Amino acid sequence: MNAQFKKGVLELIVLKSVIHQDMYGYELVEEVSKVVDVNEGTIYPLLKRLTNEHYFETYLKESTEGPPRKYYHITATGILYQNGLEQEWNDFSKRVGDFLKEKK
Amino acid sequence: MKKEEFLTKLRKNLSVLEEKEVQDIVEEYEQHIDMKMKGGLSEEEAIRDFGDLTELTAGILEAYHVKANYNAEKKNIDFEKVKEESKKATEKATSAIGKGAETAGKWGVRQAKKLWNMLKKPYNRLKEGMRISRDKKKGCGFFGKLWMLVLGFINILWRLAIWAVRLFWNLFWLFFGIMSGICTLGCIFLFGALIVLLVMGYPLAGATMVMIGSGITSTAMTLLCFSLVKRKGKKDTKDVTKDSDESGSHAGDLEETEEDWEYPKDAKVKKVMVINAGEEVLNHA
Repeated sequence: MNAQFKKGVLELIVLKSVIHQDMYGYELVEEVSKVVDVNEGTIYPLLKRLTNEHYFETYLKESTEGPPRKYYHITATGILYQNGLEQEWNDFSKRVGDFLKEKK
Repeated sequence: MKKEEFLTKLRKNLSVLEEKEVQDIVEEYEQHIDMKMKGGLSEEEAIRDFGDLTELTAGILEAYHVKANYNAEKKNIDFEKVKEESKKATEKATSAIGKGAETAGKWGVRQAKKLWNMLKKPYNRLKEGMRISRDKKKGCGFFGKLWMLVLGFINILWRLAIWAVRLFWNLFWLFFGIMSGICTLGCIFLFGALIVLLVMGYPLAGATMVMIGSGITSTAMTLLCFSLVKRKGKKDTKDVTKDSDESGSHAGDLEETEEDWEYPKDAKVKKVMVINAGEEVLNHA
């Protein structure tokens, strides 16, 4: 898949992944990898940025194996932001889809 | 690349960030690698999936709005150097300012004394003038007395006028001198700022040259203004001390006071004439 496409939509996918339940980094990477084939390294910087922009909150939780894990929890601003992004994406993909169909 | 090596490099590349943040990021990557290894991958394979380390750190730094090409290690050393140098400079500046303040303080006291004397002078003169005309009155006839009174008054007015003109002249040049002095300081400051910007790579060579030029010009202007400030001649200075002495003692007799007085040339001649005239009137009577 085109790298530019991925980059734009990655944020939306990450936000959507945690909207129903909190996740830790590795879990999130796996979740996102289901949808798009992405370099794992790029997810962490994205998580960092979303946290810095207050769309995510983090907390540590003990795990049965290994050291405590850092969980990502979406904030109210994060949910609003995600809704906006989703709306944009739907409009955008619909228009692009319509255009492509029209030109067939 | 082994895990330890990867994490060390990551830490180094992120060293521009706060230690706590770096620790946080490194721990997360470490955990990720551990989990992948538990899933059956080798250390190398787990790390290979992260892709290019430079790109990875660039992505992380971007999340903090930090320039990705920022050479952290080099800049750190520079920071140390700059810190040390600025510390030294501050120390030097503090001692220099201390000395400067002391000298300025002494100078200020001297100037204040001078100013006080200058301001006191016309008053002393006025008092002296009154005394002379009063003394003269004793030995003169009516016209002589009148003459003395009028001439004494004119004399005082003349002195006051000269004094005022000189004060105005001095204040005028002092004002301009101080203004251009401030200008010079501003130029030096701007010159420093421009040099820093120039070193940082801004195209400000022209502006810096202009600043050097205007700095030199305003320095010259300051010196000119201060050199135009009219200082009192030797005679005048002597006068001041004598005046203050006399005002203290009031013991000097008429001849002495006359000699010490600084008359405008024609006024002195006139005065001699007047005295003669006064004596003639007296003899006549």
